[in-house]
Amino acid sequence: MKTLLLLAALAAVTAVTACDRRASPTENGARAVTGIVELRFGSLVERYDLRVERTDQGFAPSLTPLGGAQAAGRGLQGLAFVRFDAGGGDPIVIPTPQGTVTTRLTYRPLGPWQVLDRAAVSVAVPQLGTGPEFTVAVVEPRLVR
Amino acid sequence: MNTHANTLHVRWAGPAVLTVLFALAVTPRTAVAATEPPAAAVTATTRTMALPCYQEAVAYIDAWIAYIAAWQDYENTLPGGTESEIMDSARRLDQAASQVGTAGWKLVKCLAGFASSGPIIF
Repeated sequence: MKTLLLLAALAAVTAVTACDRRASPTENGARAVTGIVELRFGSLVERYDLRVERTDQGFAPSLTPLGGAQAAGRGLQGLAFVRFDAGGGDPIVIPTPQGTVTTRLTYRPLGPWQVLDRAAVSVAVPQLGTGPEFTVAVVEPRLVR
Repeated sequence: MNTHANTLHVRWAGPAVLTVLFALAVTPRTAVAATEPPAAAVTATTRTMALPCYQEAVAYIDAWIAYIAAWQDYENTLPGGTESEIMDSARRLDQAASQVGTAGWKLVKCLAGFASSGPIIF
């Protein structure tokens, strides 16, 4: 009798775990990603401490400015530093009346997730040609278990 | 056979089975259906998300052009400008670079969110 009940309980726990999408077997207890975010444009260089927590709803990034960075002024929260898939990796070209804006987002695998490697925005304006690129990079990303 | 059947005769078995059946009966079927949005809804979402990214791109290119103008102004000031003129020009260049940083960040944020299939907390 007890054996039967134990087996039933075990089967129920196994079924619940298998159906729980929040803790898929591939995530293996990974809880967060840390690293340094580096923002560059011309002489402008800003760095931030990055921590992205895995939550029930997805990923919650937080940034702490290093040196004279202006996190509050830029509204820097909310960028998809970590996600489940790498995406296409093709450049995103947006033509505007002034010129063309081309953005390339590249992600690299880190444990069960994909972490932003580099985002580069370049511009081509007919009268001005091409100039400096704006880049956002995540340096030395690490998985926290 | 009789012994086997007796192993299932416990006092709470009846209420437990009834509870499970009741829970299954009251679970809304729409909860399952809602996880897969119809194709039309996806298309509408894509359209409305593409517009903000376009606006961010326009804001970025405007900031970028302003930076190039500030850079040219700085270079023109350097040869014969006074100290205060050069400092003013350098400050305007820094501000222009900062504007590009803000606009660029917003553009990347928009595009990264747009391309991602996973949920991100804003």
